[in-house]
Amino acid sequence: MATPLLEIKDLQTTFYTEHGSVKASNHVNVTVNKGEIVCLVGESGCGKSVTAMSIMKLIEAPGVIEGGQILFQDQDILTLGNKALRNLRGNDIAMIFQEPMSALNPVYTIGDQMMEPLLQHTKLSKNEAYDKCIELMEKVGLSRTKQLMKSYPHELSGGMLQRIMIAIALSCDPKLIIADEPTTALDVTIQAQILEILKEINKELQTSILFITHDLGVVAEMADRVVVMYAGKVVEEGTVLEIFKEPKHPYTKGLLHAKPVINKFQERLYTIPGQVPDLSTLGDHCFFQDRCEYRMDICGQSMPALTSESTTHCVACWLYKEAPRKEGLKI
Amino acid sequence: MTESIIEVNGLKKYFPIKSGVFGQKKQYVKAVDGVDFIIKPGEVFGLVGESGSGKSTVGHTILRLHEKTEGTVKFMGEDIFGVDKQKLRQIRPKMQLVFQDPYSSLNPRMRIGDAIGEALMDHGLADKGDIRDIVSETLEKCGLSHHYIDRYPHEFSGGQRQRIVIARAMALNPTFIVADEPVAALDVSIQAQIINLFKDLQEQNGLSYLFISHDLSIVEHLCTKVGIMYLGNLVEVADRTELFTNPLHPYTKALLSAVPIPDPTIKKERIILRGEIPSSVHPPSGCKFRTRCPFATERCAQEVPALRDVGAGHQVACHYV
Repeated sequence: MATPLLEIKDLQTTFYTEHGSVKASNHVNVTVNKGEIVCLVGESGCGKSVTAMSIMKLIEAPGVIEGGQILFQDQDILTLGNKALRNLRGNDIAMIFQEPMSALNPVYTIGDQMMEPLLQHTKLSKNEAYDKCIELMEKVGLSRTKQLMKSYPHELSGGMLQRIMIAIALSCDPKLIIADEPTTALDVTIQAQILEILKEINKELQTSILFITHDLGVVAEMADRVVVMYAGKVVEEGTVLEIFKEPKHPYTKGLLHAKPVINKFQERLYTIPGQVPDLSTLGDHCFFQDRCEYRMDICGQSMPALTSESTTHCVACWLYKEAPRKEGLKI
Repeated sequence: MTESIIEVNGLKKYFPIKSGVFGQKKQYVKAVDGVDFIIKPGEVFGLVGESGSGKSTVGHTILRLHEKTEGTVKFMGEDIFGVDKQKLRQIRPKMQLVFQDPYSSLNPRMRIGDAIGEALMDHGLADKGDIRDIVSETLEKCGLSHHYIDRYPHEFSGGQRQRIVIARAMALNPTFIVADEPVAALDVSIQAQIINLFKDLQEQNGLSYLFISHDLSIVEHLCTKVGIMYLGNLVEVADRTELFTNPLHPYTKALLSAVPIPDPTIKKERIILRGEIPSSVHPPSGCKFRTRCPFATERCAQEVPALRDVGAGHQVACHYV
């Protein structure tokens, strides 16, 4: 039986802006088990990054984490003080960001930045930390490591910097890596290399990964389980096979349809009509209803809750609640 | 009657950079290093490559937004670099450009109706009184309500802005559009809408596109012909179906295998390339791809492979195909 490493329970993160309050994470529940890769999928503005940032308690004003729990090894991160948080960040939980160019400090050498978490979190001496850095760099497939330690971020390409970021994330043997769109800024050939490294790490070290992406191709490649988000809510959750082979939610189906797939030529691409709604003006109804082709009256009246279709598959859609009841009526 | 819309011959574009203590040593970024291709009427030519392969520079240079270093570009038989300013101004409305980032390609202080109508007025292509009607019509054609005509860019989402930028290009009734990564900044659901719009406009107006993209799956859906670029050179050119079913160049094969497929049951054999794209200031000798090619030999380091026809218009630049 899988043991949960991270449990996000009923997380509510709200941003209070001039245009009203935006519920970026709206009662979100996500669990990441030990040794598992969970992909959080959704389009821009669906709250996937905010959810990830909330885990590390990195939400800044005007954002507020208003409720919920984030249990990491049964300890609620949201109740921790600054000191305890510092011990956690970069140590037990590490993060890889989308833009490797802006995630590293341009005025410090790669070596300085790689050694920092080691000197902070472990009892290694400077020399030992240096050796460990060289070892980590080799692990992520970098060569000329001694020279790289002395160089500055601007001297390296995006792919190399992302490898450095992964090496830094790995340095304290984290139990969980949160990777927020780590390959979005990279070319496909480099993306393939980076994904390979992340998969290897997961297999070898049993590190759990919460992988945030909008690219369904990457999801199919990486994920054990998938969580689909839309407008701040989880709309569907399941194993990678369930999501790709038996998607339930109309949004998930639409996303899978709309993505052009190589070597499967279609005359016209399927499109989801309309666009993502403004999160500050949403009422109490299904957020996808105005774009949904299966819309029913109830969709405009109240919000469907996430209900289980099987032990691993959940969906938040009235279609799957209505159906059994209708059949019941016929009898 | 000319047979091609665009004819590019031996096009080179080098950008000078300075190095050394007083900037006395001049070096060049060889962004485009000898490219030939033809775009026929009604053809959608997809130009694919990684960042730094020079695909955008090709797009900009054939519109004469950059001066060339060497080579010729003919637009409907007319040498773009040979004509004088006045003539160039006459040609310009016929060739339009759509950029990647719909946020920075619209002036935030200009109503979208003015932005779309500006070029019409400037080129004297329509009477002042008619412009509003033409703009409204173009907006509708691009899937936007004509009520939007007096709004400002910030009132629109990314996908809508991209429609505005496309409308701006379409208003001039062009024959040729260069689209430089027009959907790279958009979400999947919006991406599909814009790709379909490109396709509709192309079919309705018989347009030709040069469609620049790094995403092979999009290129497959939109383009009729595809060129693969690597470090300033075309390494393979073929019709869509031919290129995707029978890729010959090792780089094309690697690119195709690197595209993740949204189907967890398909485990494909992946060719993972070593290293990264080399610097275009000091490109490798011989075949530029040899530093990452799994099949490279001595010969590749010495001889530059020429782009040659291997049958049915399928062109490849590799010694071993």
